[in-house]
Amino acid sequence: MNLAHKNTLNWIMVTFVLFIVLLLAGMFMRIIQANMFSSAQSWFYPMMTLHGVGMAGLWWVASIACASRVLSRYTAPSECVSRFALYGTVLGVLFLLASVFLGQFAAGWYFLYPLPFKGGWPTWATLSFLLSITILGATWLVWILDLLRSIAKKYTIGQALGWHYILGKTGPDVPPAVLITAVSLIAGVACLLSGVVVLLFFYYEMLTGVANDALLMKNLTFLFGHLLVNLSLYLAVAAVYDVFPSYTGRPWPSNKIVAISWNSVLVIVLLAYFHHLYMDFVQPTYFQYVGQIASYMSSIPAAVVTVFGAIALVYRAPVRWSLGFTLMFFGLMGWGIGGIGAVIDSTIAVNSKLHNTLWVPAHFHTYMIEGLVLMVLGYFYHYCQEKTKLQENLYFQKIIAALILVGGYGFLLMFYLSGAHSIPRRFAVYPADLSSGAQLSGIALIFISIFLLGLVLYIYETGRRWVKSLDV
Amino acid sequence: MTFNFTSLKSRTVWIKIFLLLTVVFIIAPLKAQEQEKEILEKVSKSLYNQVPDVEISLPNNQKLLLSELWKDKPVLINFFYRECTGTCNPFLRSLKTTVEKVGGISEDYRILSLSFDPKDGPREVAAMAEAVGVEKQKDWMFGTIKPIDIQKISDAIGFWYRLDSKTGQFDHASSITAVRNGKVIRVLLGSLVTPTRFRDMLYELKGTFVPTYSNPGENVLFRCFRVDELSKSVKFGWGMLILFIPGFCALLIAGVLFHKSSHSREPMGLS
Ligand code: HEM
Ligand SMILES: [Cu+2]
Repeated sequence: MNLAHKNTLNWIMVTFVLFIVLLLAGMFMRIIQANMFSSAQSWFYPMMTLHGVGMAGLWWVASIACASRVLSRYTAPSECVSRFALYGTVLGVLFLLASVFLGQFAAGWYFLYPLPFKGGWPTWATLSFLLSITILGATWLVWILDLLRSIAKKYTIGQALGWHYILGKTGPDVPPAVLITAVSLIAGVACLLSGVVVLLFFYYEMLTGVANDALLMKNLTFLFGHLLVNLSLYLAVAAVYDVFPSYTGRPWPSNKIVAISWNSVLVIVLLAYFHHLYMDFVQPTYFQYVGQIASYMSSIPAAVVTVFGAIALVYRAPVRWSLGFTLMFFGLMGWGIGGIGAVIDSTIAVNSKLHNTLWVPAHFHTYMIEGLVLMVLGYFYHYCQEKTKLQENLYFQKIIAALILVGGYGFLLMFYLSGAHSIPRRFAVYPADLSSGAQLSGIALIFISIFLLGLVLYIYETGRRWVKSLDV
Repeated sequence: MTFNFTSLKSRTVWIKIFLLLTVVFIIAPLKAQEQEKEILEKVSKSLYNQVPDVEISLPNNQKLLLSELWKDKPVLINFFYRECTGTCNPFLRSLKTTVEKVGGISEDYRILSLSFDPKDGPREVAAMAEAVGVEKQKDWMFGTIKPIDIQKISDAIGFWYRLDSKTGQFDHASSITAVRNGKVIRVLLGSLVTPTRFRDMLYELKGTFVPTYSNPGENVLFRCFRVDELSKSVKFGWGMLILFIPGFCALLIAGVLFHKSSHSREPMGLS
């Protein structure tokens, strides 16, 4: 078995295991919010932290794994670096688990300054958490720099970013996957660097006791967090761009519009994160306006171009709706739907109402679960299927997809309804006057169970191919 | 695919599983929620009530006003009666264990345990303090108040009691009420005092404010803004510049990577 194949199989396994564990942590939160199992209430926030950081990190590595496998069709990323990234990720996760399970660290997924220092958990738990993020960040930085290097080895920066399309030329051919990956990786360097700066400030304060500027820390934290989540999506989209034509039998090449929309992403995605600071009165007001405009500009063109491109590609094409394709198709659509929810929330006038209600988890779970997760799971299935060519029972596969979609959207609907009822996010137990929150949590649990069932069947279906492809 | 899970038999299994889930996930929360709601309503009813400033008699016959206790630090008030065969003893003991575990008594708060049974006098409350093992604790006081005051305070702090004529015992709540400057800040209901909930209450009592923005003059690494003391004008600090470093460095690194690879790159023809 060659190293590239082995690496991909390892990433797939890590993803399956961690997804189940983190999903159970999510389910645990809903159980507490539904007023069941109240003896475990004190674990809500540690679990929320584990679930949030874990999921954000998991799908980020999973999407890089997809993108790097796709990229290797055109360039030569180092498989040793990919292996190194796997070890680094596992090590980082161990530190995370220690800080959460042994130290009850619970500062939430973006560990907003100064909460890690003020939460009442032991200092070593904070340290273990920061170390975890440091290890992960450093590992990933090496990984994406290597991927970027592999692109640079073959394309000039102008080619990789498709500037010749913008200038009206049609060649050389640059696959959209390469273009989108290049955009995402460059922004990814900015993302991880801002993570590094935040961590340095945290360590400096731990060592010297000199305080940090809370506004600066929050800006840097969200530059990091917002980019991490957005780029994960873009990388998965890149993979989908690459495999779609093999299902629809139609090419999906780069062109002027694709190039313009993704270059605009690169230019402004670094500014969109301001929408996380709308409530911060000390932030300069014009940043807020920039945040709203950049949120629109960085998401709408790319998503519209991609979603319509995909629909046009599929429309009346003789598509075989296998598990892989179905998940990827619905993944793109879910990205669009969640994106609409996100754009609504990034509108200042709306945000002042919806901020910190469950609307926020609602929209980001939409493009995560129904977008990113589906695209990645679809790609993983596609990969294992390509290797083994096992016979596909399309009827069974449709049921799997249906369970995942019905379970997922039902779960999300409860978040949206809660948001519309002003139920706050991050409440372990809802006060009496918001008791509808507990009720909706209970209903959400039914849908989570359905989703989980679909997921288990999916893992069975893909896992069979995974096992078989060990001998390839 | 081998197993046939659309057959009639397995379909009924699915339906059963679904029904079971419904019961567990909808009915159970409803039930728990009702209880929770009741408790929360009781607890929140008395928040921010003004507690009447009544006179307390301590076992050593010293008399003082409640306001003398809350004058310099918060006071946690709870009720008991000596003859209780129910929760009073275990409740006070669990309070003691928690206080020992969490600490902060004397520095951050006082505790006042009052008898609501008019039959209790100085001797009875002293005996209770001894039974719990806190008679030497200077800032945990046991005392009595006049019968009319019992009613006034219980109304204000969300405590209730009722004489059960058959047993001669009182049916009563088990609760601690945290009072700061004469106002109810928090009520803990329940006969066991857990450290987590107790600690929460202390944070709230202290009104611990986590500053989200530093004050001028504080020692801070890089600020986004500086306030010019003289002109009172706000200027950008170095922090604002730092915000641009990640983006700038990323572009720089990408530029360098692509530039350095340009020598070894195979030329890409038009394809
Ligand atoms: C079926 C799967 C999932 C379930 C049941 C679930 C459940 C939850 C719940 C109940 C919360 C807390 C909401 C609140 O604030 O009250 C939450 C938060 C969160 N979830 Fe999920 N989730 C799932 C999947 C995901 C996925 C796939 C991702 C990301 C890729 C994700 C990322 C997050 C993040 C970042 C938070 C915020 C944590 C924080 O506020 O610090 N979740 N989730
Ligand atoms: Cu964002």
